[in-house]
Amino acid sequence: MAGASEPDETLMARYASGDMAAFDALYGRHELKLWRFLQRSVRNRATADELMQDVWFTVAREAARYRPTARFTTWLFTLAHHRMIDAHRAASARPAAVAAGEGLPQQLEQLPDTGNPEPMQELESRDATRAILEAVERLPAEQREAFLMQAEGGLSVQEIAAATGSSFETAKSRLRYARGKLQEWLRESV
Amino acid sequence: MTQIPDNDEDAGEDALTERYRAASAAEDSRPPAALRTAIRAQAWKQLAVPAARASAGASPRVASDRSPAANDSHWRLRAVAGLAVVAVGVAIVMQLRRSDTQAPVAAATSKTTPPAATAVPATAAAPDNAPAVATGQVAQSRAAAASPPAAARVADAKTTPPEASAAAETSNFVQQTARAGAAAASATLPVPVPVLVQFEAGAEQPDAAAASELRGIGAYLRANETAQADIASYFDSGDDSGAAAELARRRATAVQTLLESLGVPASRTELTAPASVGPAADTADAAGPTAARVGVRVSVR
Repeated sequence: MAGASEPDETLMARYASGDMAAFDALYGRHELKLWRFLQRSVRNRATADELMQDVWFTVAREAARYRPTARFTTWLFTLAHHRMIDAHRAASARPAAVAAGEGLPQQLEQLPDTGNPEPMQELESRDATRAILEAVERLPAEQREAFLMQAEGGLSVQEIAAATGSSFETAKSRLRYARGKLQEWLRESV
Repeated sequence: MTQIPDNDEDAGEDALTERYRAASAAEDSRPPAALRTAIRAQAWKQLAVPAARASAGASPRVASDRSPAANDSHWRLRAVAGLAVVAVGVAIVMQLRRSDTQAPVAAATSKTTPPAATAVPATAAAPDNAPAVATGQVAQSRAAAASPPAAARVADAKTTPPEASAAAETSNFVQQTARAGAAAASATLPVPVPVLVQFEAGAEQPDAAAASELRGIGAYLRANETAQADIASYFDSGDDSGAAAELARRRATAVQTLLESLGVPASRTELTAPASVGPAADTADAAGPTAARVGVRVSVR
């Protein structure tokens, strides 16, 4: 039985050696975080499910070649980031899908924000719990991704930069803007 | 109010993040059970593959030290490989262009170089420690650059230091290559359109704009040995004194002289007698014989 206190990297090594219980432990540990990250990033549940499956299939397939040079979580979110980009490219070939709001990081900045068209005033009528989730969805895609990587994955700025293929300063800037906007919007909603 | 740390790189554990996490946890949405089932099935399947390999005698499911890690930064390797491919491509293109510019030099040399020139290798005067560029076409071009004064070269080799001789040879080679490149470039010039040469009132020399256009014609004629320039002059018929015809003739001659100064021998230009083209219609042309003009046309024969 895979121990709950074992590091992710150890669980990966055990799974690579044939221990399915280690994979179960690993999956259980990150299932919800990754799924929420994907769902809030792509703002489409079906797409999130598809990406989730794709990411974990990759984890299983590449387990034998995984080496603990960095945190497993960073790698996991890096895979998720790349899958989202791939999905966005595929969606770009289907204009209808893009128009339906399947936009993804980076290029999403150029698309109209279809995630939450309600005015901010409507946030005031909702409770604080809903308010912050809706505020996160209103963030620009890259800032939202950075915030979610930190909030859901617990990634540091350095790890966010590595996962998104950006510089440290860029990741830090995105994170700062995201947090600034969230703070401002939440202040307005009170 | 939520305080956001300003400089903390890992400011994830602040109130804002905690608030988000609490809100997120309060939601009861979860990934579908079928998704977990599918992922587990795939994970099992992946385990089964190496097990089958192991039973067949293949290596076990352990990462080889030589194979790249799945979580390596592949993009760096790809970027370096991409740059290397681009660099090789550029080098090939440059080499091809260099070969193209050297070909005319070799061809010209074969027509003008006496046999004695080939008996004196271009590298003969170069010292052993001279730059090693005398290979293939480069050596041929260097021989071509130095070939006409072959005897002089031998004399130079005796009286000048080897370093100076090598430097002069290299300089010759560079100049010859540059000339060959220029010739190759001009050979592709489009046929110039006929130029109507303009003159200031009373002037016998073309103005600056016309001279500039004539330079284009000169370049074309130099690059195309079969091209011929016809210099046709004409004058307004309103003048009966003959002064206009004479001025037209002088202007045509001036154009011919100008082309000569541009490297076009007179044998390749043909002057035609001034022709009367009728009275001028505008005030400028009606100013008397000074209004006569000279036209230049270039035709390839």
